[in-house]
Amino acid sequence: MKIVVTIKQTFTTEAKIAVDGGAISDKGIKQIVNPYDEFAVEQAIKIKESGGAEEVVVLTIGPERAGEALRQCLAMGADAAFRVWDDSLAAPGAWDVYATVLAGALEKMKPWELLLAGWVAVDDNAAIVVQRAAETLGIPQVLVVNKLDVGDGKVTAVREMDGYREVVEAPLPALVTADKALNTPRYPTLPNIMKAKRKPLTVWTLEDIGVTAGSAGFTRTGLALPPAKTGAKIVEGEPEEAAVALADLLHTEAKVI
Amino acid sequence: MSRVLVYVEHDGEAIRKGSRQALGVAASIGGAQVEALVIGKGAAGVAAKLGAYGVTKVHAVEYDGAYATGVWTGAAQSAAGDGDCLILASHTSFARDFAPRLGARLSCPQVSDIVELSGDLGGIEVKRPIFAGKAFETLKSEAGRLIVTLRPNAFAEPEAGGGGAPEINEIAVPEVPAALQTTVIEVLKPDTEEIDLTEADVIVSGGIGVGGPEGFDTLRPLQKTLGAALGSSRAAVLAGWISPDHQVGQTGKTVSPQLYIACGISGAIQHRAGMSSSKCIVAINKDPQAPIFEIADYGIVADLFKVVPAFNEAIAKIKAS
Repeated sequence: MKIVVTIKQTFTTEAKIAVDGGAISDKGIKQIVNPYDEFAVEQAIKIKESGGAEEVVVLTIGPERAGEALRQCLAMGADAAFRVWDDSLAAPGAWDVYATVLAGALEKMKPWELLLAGWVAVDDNAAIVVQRAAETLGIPQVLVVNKLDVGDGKVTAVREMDGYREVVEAPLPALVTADKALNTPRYPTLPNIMKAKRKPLTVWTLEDIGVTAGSAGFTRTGLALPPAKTGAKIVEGEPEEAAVALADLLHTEAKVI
Repeated sequence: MSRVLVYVEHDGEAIRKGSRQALGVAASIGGAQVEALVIGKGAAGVAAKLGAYGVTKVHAVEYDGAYATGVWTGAAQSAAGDGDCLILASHTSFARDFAPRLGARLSCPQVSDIVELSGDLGGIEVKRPIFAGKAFETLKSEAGRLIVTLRPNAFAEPEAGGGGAPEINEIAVPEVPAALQTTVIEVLKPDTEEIDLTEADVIVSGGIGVGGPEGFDTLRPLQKTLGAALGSSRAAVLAGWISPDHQVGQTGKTVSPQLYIACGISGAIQHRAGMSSSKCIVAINKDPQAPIFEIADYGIVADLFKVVPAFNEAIAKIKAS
């Protein structure tokens, strides 16, 4: 069995966001594998280590810099990596285009039986692209998964719903997206980081995967940081008195109680 | 005049809060013809209630089973039809699952988890948080067919009332090919019925300052008095004091309640990202330098174990009066 994991390079979650010239500035910001994608990569490697798969391949859509994120996945234990890029993909709001590109690349990478990804990217918070590609590819999905078994031509997964969980089965090939309780991603060891440098990393253009990008459904017309807060109104006094005064303020001033 | 189709989620009787908010957004679009899609057991009964929200036509699928991607996507595709249509849904676990696939089927763009919407089909503008609320982007689409999911609690709930009985279009349960069939084999309900964080009006949240798993017991009475959901910081989850379902932040839930009470939470950027869009933020923390005070509206610098019980008592008195 071959497993494909789609990943995205994102800012670390500690990153301070600044806007520069109408775009989000990446100046001085450390970029990582999207944390949820890292759970997906770890799961794929675990499946391979337990004999459930022969090959783990990672795929990303991203500029040259995203190659670093792929190397990280190779150092964790993935066997090969693919990066698709075209400068026309740099504009935000193009989830529909990204899904077309991803589906094209995944079509070219066939045959594979399991598609893994993080459930959401912590930067654009969209959770659209890989599911949309799965529909195009005609495979089922189980999203936001915290436990996964693969075998007998199917996946059995525990998925997070609003306020409860479900155990769900789906036939392979299938898409499963990872949530944070799925596993604990490993840190690559130094020998594995060295080894990763010799693993194959293939770069594809849109022409290579036979896709015409088309125009995006959305264009970004504005970007802003949240309005600055002026700081809290500190309620003074002994703790018990302050507590009573605070309750009163929430009732009479903020009117939230 | 544009056609707006709202996916309405329900429990067999009541309409989910996020869906009521989506109906409000639909009604606010001038001159729109508002239709709804209702799927599940009791769909007909829910459909009949929708006239009060300005819905003139309901696409109803009476369906007895658990949520299934193929059924929901197929039903939404039938309801959307061929022409121009704005499809709205609250950004719930169901919509998160079927909306992207619907976008592929209808070959139309989708945008998710938005907090503002203006304009009309052909020139719609939406605002949405990125980097978990550390920035907001505005996006525009000129598409005639569009799917938009709305962040729960980001939109006001409309007043329901009046309206005639909507026209009902019954849709048969869509056939799902075997290769696409997902089967729910077990539903795991939590031991205690907790209020869902994403739809909660009030959240009482604890961090490292609660000192241990038993520290959350200090917050429980206040949570109960306020009818609040219980949140936590990532640090408290990593310490194993509370289950990850409660985590608010960039790698947890993103919430926007009316009132967020942060108890013993320092306010790391990771946490602030998930809750900074709350309408009113209260911080209770011993450390006057804690960054949570920068984004809080009200604060008390003191030991939460002294403040919270007194605060709870005071709130209970206000509620009783």
